[in-house]
Amino acid sequence: MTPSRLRLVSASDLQWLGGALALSCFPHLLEQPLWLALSLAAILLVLTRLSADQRARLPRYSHLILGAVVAVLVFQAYQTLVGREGGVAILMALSIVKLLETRTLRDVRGLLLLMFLLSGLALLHGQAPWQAAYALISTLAVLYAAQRIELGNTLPMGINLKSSSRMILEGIPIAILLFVLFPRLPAPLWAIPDHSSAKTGLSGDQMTPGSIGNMIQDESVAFRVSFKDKAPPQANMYWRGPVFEDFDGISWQPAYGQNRDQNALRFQAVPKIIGEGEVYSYSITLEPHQQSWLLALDMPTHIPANANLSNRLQIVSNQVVSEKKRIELSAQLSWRTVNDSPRQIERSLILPADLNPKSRALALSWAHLPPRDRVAAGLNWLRNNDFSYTLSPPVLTSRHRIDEFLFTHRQGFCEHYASAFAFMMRAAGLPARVVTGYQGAQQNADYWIVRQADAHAWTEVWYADQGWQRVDPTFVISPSRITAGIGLSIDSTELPFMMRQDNAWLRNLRLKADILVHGWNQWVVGYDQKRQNELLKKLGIDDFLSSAFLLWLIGGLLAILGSFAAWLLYKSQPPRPDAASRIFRRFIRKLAPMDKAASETAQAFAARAQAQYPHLAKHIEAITHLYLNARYGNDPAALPALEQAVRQMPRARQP
Amino acid sequence: MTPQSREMLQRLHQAEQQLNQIILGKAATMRLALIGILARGHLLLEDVPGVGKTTMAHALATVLGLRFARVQFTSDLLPADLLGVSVYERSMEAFRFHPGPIFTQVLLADEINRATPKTQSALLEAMAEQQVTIDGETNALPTPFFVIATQNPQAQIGTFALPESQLDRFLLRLELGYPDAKAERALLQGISRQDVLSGLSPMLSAEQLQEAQQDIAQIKLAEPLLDYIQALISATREDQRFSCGLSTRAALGLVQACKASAWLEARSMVIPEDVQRIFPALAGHRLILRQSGRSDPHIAEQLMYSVAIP
Amino acid sequence: MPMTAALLSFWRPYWQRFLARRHPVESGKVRIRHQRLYILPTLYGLGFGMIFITMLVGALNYQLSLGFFFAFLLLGVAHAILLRTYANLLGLQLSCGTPIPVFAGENVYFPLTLLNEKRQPRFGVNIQARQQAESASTHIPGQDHQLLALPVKSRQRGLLALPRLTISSTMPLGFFRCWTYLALDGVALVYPQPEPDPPPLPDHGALSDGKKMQASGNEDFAGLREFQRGDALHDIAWKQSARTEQILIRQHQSPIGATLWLNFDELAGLPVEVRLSRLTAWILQAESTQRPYGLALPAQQFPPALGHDHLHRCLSALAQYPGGAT
Repeated sequence: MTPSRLRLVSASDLQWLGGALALSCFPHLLEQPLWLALSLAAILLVLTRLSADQRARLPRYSHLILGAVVAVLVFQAYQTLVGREGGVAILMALSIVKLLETRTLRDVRGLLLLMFLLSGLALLHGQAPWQAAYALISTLAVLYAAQRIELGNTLPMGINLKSSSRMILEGIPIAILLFVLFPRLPAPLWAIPDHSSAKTGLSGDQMTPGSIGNMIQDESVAFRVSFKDKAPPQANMYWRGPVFEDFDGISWQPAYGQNRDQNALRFQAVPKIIGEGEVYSYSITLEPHQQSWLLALDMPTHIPANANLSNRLQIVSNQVVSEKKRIELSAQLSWRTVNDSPRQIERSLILPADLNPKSRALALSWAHLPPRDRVAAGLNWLRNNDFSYTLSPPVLTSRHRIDEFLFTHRQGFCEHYASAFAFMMRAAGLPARVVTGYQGAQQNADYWIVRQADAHAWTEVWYADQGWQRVDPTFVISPSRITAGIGLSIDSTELPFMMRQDNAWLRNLRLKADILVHGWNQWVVGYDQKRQNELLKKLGIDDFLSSAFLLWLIGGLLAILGSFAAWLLYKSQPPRPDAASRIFRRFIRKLAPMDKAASETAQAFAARAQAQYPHLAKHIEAITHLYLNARYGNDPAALPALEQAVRQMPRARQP
Repeated sequence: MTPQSREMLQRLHQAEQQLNQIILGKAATMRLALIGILARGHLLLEDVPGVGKTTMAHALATVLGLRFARVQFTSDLLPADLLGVSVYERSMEAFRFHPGPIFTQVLLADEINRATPKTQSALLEAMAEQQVTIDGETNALPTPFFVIATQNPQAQIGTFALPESQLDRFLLRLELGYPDAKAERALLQGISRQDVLSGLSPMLSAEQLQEAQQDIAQIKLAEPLLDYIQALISATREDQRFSCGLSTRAALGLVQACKASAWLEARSMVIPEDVQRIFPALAGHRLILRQSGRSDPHIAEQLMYSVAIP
Repeated sequence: MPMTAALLSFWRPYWQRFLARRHPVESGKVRIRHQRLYILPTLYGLGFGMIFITMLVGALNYQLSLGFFFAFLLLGVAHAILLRTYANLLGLQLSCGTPIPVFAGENVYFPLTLLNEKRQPRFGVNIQARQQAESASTHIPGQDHQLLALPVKSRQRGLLALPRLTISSTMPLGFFRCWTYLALDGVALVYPQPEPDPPPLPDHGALSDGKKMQASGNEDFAGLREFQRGDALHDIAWKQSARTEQILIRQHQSPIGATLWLNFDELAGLPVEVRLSRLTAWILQAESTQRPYGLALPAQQFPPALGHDHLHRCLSALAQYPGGAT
C-alpha cells in the first residue's frame, strides 16, 4: 500500500541479492545430483547478471515458464516435490527463479525471507561445526543484503557489515538461552520417511572377504566413546556390530535374509546375557550410518531405552540412525549366555555341501576333541602354518575359497580369518558364526575415537555350558592388531594417516581438533531430551511446568533483553557536552523559568536575562564573558573561574 | 592585541564614527560594510535610488584613505569603457594603455544590473583575478581593490539580473533603506552631504588597512564555531526551498568576515554573535527561492534561527 | 465491508479525540519520548515470524539440534532489529519554524528541523501530516540536523495550523514499524487567493472620508513595463513598443501622482471573500508595477508605500480579515 514497498530496486542491489542467494543456496546445491546443481547454478548466475534493460525485455510469463522448467528438473531428480530432499530442492530452485521476477522492494522482501529459510535448512545436510559456521555466514550475508536494500544503499559497506554482524551477535545470547531451555520432544512430530543414502561403514547385509579390508582406508570417525569411570584394556575393546549366520561359500549373510531387524526376532527366544566381572559404563556418540543397529562393547549388559537386544545379542534401535545419536550403555567383559535359541544354534552348524573339501577334512580331524580343545586346535593350526596378516591379500578366485585361502595363499585380513575359522569350527561340529564390528580405539583426552579403519571381524562359538563366546583368530596371526591397534600390525604406508604411528605432532593437532568436534557433538548436536533433563536437573529444574523453569526462562530473557535495551538507550544518549557548556547550562537553570533557545547566542540570552533580573546583571555579565572566553577563546583560566562564578550566583527565583 | 593594532582599531572606530555622521541611523549597516572591506570582500548594495548609496561608498573610500571612482552602469556601457583601451600613439609609435575607471581602489559600480552581461562579466572577472587583460597585456589592479556594486532590487524592463554564480562573488549584500524619521529630519535640517563629504579626512592609509587585515587573520576560531558554521552551511544545502545552498567560497567568506567582526570589537576570538551578525547579509543574496526565483534576506535569517548553536 | 466501514467511521471521532488528548500540541523543540513511541511488526516482520515457526517445527520434527539454535537465533536477530527500529526514532527532536506565507490553494511548506543528538544516524524517518496525501522522508546523520519542508495543502485564507504529524520508520530492516504522533505548534499565514482575472487597478483611490488623491500630469519618467489591461492609451510608449514587439507602458515616478488607495469599502456589493481576493490581486499588480499603494480596510489603514515589508503587511491584514480560518 505504501509506495515505498513498490519502490524499484536498483540493479546493483539485485546483484547483492543474487550473491547472498548464491551463498544461501550453496550447501543445498552440493547435495543435488551434479547435472541439477550445475543447471541451477547456471540459472542463478545468469539471473544475477541480468541488467534492468534485459529484465524489462523479457516476456511477461518468463518466470512462470522457468519455474515450471526447474520443477520438472527437480522432479526428474527426486521423483517427488515434497519430503525432505525434494522439498528442499524445489524450495531452493524456486527461490532462484524468483530472482527473475524480483523488481520491487516487496518482491525482494519475499525472496529475502526464503533466503533466511534456506540458510537454516542447510543444517539438514549436516550439523558439523563448519556447517553451523556456514549457516551463520550465509545468514549474515542475507541480513547484509536486506539492510542494504532496505536503506536504499545509504550506508557504507563496512558500517553495514558491522551493523549486520552485530545483530547476529546480539541474537546469540537469546538463541543459547532458548536452545538450552526449550523443551525437547522424545520423538518426532510425524514419521520421517526413511532416508537412505550410500554411506561407508559396516554393512549389515553381508560380509565378503575384502569388504572390511576396503574400510581400512577410511579414517572417518565411526563413533566416539566416553567411559564413565575407567576404560577397559584396548585388547578387550570389541565393538559388537552385525552378526552373520549363513554362509554360501563366498559371503556371510544374516539368517532370514535382508530384513534383518524384524526377522532376526524370528529366532523367538532372546538369549539372556549374564555378565561377570567389572561393569564398564560408557556413552557412545554414533555418527549417522542410516542403519538401525547400534554398536556396543562386548557384551552389553545394560540396554538403553528406545532399543532392544536382538537374539543375535546385537542392540537394535527403534529408529534408523540418521542424525548423530548418543547412547548410554554398560558392558561386562566376561559373560555367559543362557536361554539360547536352539534353532539358531542348529543354523550355526550349516555349511554349504561339497565346498572346501580340504578344510572340511582338516576340521573333521578335530571333531573328536572336546569343544574347547577343538577351538585350541584350530588356533594352533593357524599359528603354526605361516599365516600372515596383510591389507592386500591375493584375490580369491576358485570355487573353494576357504581352501584356497587356508592352503594356497595363507595371506589375509581379519575377515578372511574370521570366515575361515567359523567354517572350520562348523565343520568340526561346533556352532560358530561371524561377528563384525570395530576393534580398539584411540584415546583423545577423556574420550576414545573409533574410526572406520578400526573395523574388524571375528568369530563366535557356542559352548553348551557358557553359551556364545568370542574367539578372534586374528589375534593368533597378529597379536599386535588386537593389543596395540592396527597401526602397529601392518606396514604403515598402507594405512591412512591417522592410523599410523609416525608423524606424531600432526596427529596430535588433529586429535586436538577432534576434542572440539567431540564436545560439539556431545553438547550441541547431541543435546536431546535426556541431556536437557540432566542439565536442567543441575539447574534445579525438575519439570517444564515448575516455577524454577519459568524463573530461569523469564529471568534469563529479562537479563538479556534488559541489558540490550539499557545498552541501546545508553547509545541513544547525546554525547556529553564539553565542560564550559555544562557549566553554562547550570547557569541557565539557575535563571529558570527563563530558557535559552537553541539558536540564541549566549550574549543575546544574557541581555534578555539582565532585563528580566536586573539585580543579577553583574553576575550574568561576568559569567557570559567567562563562558565565551572558556568556550571560544581556549582560555584555560576561564573555566575554573566560570565554575566558581556560576556557583556563587544566587538562583533567580527562590523555590 | 598589540598596541599597534589597538591604535589601528581606534582609527577604524573613528572612521566608523565619521561614516555614521554622514549616513545617519545605519550603524549596523556601516559596521557590516567595514567588516566586508576588512575581510577583503566586495559589497552589493541593493536599494532604491536616492537613499545615499553613492555617498556611503564615497565616504567609506575617503575615511579609509582609498582612491575612489564611480561608474554609472547603463545598457550602452562597454567593457572598454570600464577597463580601459590601448590607443596607438603616434609620438611613441606604440600602443599605449589608457586605464579605465576600474583602476582605482574603491570602485562604485552604480546600478550594475543595467549593464549588459558582457560588461558585468568583465567587471566580475577583474574582481576575481585582481587584474585586467586587454589585447594580451595584463595590468594588475591596485591593492587593495574593492567593488561596491549597487542595484535596484525591483525587476524592471531593460535590466539584466546578475546570475547566481556572479552573485557569489559579492561577500555581503547590504540594504540601506530609507532613513528613519529622526535621521531624515536631521538630514533635512543639516548641511548637504556633499559638504560633509568634502570635510572628511582619511583616518588610515592603504598600508595600514592591509596591516589590519593581517591582524585579523590571527583571530581565534574555536571548534564549536566551526561546527556552527558548518551546520549553517549544510542547513542551506538541505533546505528544499532553495535552488542551491551556500558554496564553500561563501563559507570561507563567512569565516573571514566573522574574524573581522571580532577584531572590530577588540575580541581575540570569534563568538556566535559574529556569525549571526553576518550570516543574513552573507546568505541573503545567495539563497534563491525555488518557487519564486527571488532571494530574500529574511528567509536567510529565519533559517539561521532554526539552526542550533552547538 | 460496509459494516466495517460504518463501524470505523463511528469510532474515528473518538479515536481522534483520544489521540489529541494523548498527544497535545507542544511548542518549541519536542523530543520523542518512549512513553509515546509505539511499535508493531509489519507484514514483512510477520513473514519473518513464519520463517521462525517453520524452522522450529522442522527442528522438532527432524530432531535437528542446530535447527533449534538457528530458529532461536532468528528470534534473537528479530529482537535486535526491534531495538534498532525503536532507537531509530527514540530521542529524535523536532521543531517547526515559521513557514513562508502562501496564497490559498498553494502548498504551505512547513520547515521542520529534525535534530539527531546521538552518534548513530537515523534512517528513513517518514513524516506525514494528518489527512495529507504527501509525506516527507529523510535520513539524519549522527549528531546532525536535517531540514525538511513538509507540504500541507492550504484551502482557506487565514491561519493554518500544522496538522498532527505521524512520525514513523521501519528502518533498518522493515520488520517493524515504529511510530508516534506529534502535534507541533507551527502556524502558517495563508493569504487570500488572488482573483484570477481582476479588473484593472482603479485609476485613483479614495479614502473613505472622501479626500481625493489627484493624479498630477507632470511626472518623471521612471521606466517601462509591460501593458496590462486598464492602462491608459496615452501612457503607451509607442516607439519602444515597436522595437520590442511588446506593448510597453511608460512608468512615472511621482509620489502623489501614482499613489493608489485600494479601498475595501469601495467594492461594496461583492461578497467579502471576493473583495479580499480582488484586493490581493490588485496589491500584487501594484507591487509588480512599482506603483505605491495604500490599503484601507474597515478597521485598519496602511498608508501608501512599496516594498517587501509593506506587501507582507497588507496581505497579512487581508489574510487575517475576520471570517477566515484561524
